[in-house]
Amino acid sequence: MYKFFRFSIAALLALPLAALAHGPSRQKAQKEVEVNAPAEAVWKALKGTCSIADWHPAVATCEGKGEGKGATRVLTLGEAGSGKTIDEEFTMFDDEKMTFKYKITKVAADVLPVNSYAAQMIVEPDGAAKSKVIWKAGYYRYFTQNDPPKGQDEEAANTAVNGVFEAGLAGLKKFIETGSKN
Amino acid sequence: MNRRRLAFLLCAAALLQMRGINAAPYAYITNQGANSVSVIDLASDEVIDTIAVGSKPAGVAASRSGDRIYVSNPESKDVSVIDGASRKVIGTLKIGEGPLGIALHPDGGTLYVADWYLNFVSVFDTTTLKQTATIPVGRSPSGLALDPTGKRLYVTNRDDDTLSVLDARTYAPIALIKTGKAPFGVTLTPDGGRAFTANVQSSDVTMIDTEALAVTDTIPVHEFPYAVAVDPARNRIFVTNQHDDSVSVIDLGLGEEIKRLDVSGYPEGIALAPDGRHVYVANWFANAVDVISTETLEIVGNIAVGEGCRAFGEFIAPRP
Repeated sequence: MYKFFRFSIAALLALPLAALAHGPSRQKAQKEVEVNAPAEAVWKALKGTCSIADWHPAVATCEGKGEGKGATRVLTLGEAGSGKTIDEEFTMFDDEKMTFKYKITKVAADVLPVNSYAAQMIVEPDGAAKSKVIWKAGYYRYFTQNDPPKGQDEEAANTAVNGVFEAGLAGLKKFIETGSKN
Repeated sequence: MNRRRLAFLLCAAALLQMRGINAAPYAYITNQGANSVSVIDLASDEVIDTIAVGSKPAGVAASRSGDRIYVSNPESKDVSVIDGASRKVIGTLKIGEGPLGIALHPDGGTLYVADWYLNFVSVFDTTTLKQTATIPVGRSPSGLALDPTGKRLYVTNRDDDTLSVLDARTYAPIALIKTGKAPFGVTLTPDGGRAFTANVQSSDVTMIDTEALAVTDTIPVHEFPYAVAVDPARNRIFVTNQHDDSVSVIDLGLGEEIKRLDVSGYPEGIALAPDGRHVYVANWFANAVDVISTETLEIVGNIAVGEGCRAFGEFIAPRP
C-alpha cells in the first residue's frame, strides 16, 4: 500500500512536469540507402537543382534558378498548384566529393514544421557497382518560443523530416534502379 | 656546479615536468541529447567520466581553479552546479524560462546566466547559490563573457544585432554596440582589449576595440558562425561555422581567413587549451570533439563524446 501510495504521488508529481512545455532544442535526422548503381550515376541523378522532382514522391513540381552553390528552388508538394511550397537554397556544392548542402529559406508549418533547417546529401561509392546515399539535417521545431502548439513541436518536426528522408531515399533508389518515379 | 646540486636540479626539473603533466586540464563537454557532461582529460584526450545533469544541457562555465563547473539546461530551466573534485552535481539553480549562455566572474564568486526568452541576465552568488539580481538586456541574449579583470560583462543580443557592455558589479550599461546579424558567441582576448562576436545570419565576425567601444573590423567567415576562440600567441582566432561543417582560422593582422578546416560535423563550442597548443571543438552532429593543432592547423585528434555535444562557453579548466 505504502509503495503504491509513494508511486502514485511520484506519478502525480511527474505528470504536470511532463506536460509543461519547454523551449526548443536543435534536432537532427540522418538516413541512408544502398543503391545498386555506381556512385557517378547516382550523383548524376541527384545533383541537378531540380533533380529532386524526378525521384521524390512528395515533390510534384520544382522551379529552379541556377546550378550549384547559390542556386535556389521552390518545391511544390502534393499536387502541382497545391500552394504547399518549400523555398530552398544550395549553400555548398562539391562535384568532386559528390555532395551538396542546402537550407530551407521559407516554409509554412503545415507543409514542413521546421525552423532553421540545413541539410546535406552525400553519395559514397561502395565498390564499383554500388553506392550509398546519406541524407542528414539539423533543424529546430517550427515554433521557436516556449509552449509550442500541437503540430509545431519537436515530435512533429522529427516525424516530418524522417518521413521526407525515408520516402525520398526509397524514391531515389527506385528511380535509379528502375528508371521510374512511381 | 657540484654533482649533488646538478642531481637536485635534474630532480626538480623532472618533478616540475611531472607536475606539468599532472596539471593538464579537463574539458567539460555538454551533451544536449544525452543530458550529460563528458569530462575529457586533455593529457590523454580521453573521456574519463560522464556526469548526468539537467535536461538538454547546452552552456558551460568552468571556474579558473577548476573547482566548480556550471551547466545551463534550457529544457529543465535550471543550472547544474558540478563539484570539480568529486565530479558530482552538488546543486541546481532554477532560472526563468530559457537559460543558455553562462559565464563566471574571474573571481569565481558570481555567475551570470542569460535567459533567452525573458531578455535578462540572472546574477547568482556562487557561495550561497542565491539569485542576487536580474539585468535587463536586449532580445534573445545568448553569449556572455567577462573581461579578464572582471570589470565588465559582455552580452550578445541575438535578435537585436547588438552587444551589450555592462559594469559586471553595478550592472550599469556602458555601451550598446551594433554587430553583424544575429550575434551568438562572444569571446575576448586574454588582455581584454578586443571582443569578437560570431554573427549567425550575416556569416561574419565583428571585431570590437573594447577601449574605444567601437567596431574595428567585420571579417567574413562561412554559414552560421557560432563561437570564437582566440590564439593570442599567433594573433589568430578560430571560428566554428555550423552549417559549413568547418572552422575558420583568421589571421588578425591580415583581417582575413588563412585556413578553412573541415571538421566532423556541425561545430559549436570552441576553446583554446591553456598551453596554447591545441584548440578543442565540439561537433553537435558528429557527437565528437575535434582537436586542432595551433601550430600545423591540422586536425590531430577526434574524441567521441555524447549525443548532440555543444559546449557553449568556457569549457576548459585546470583539474581541481
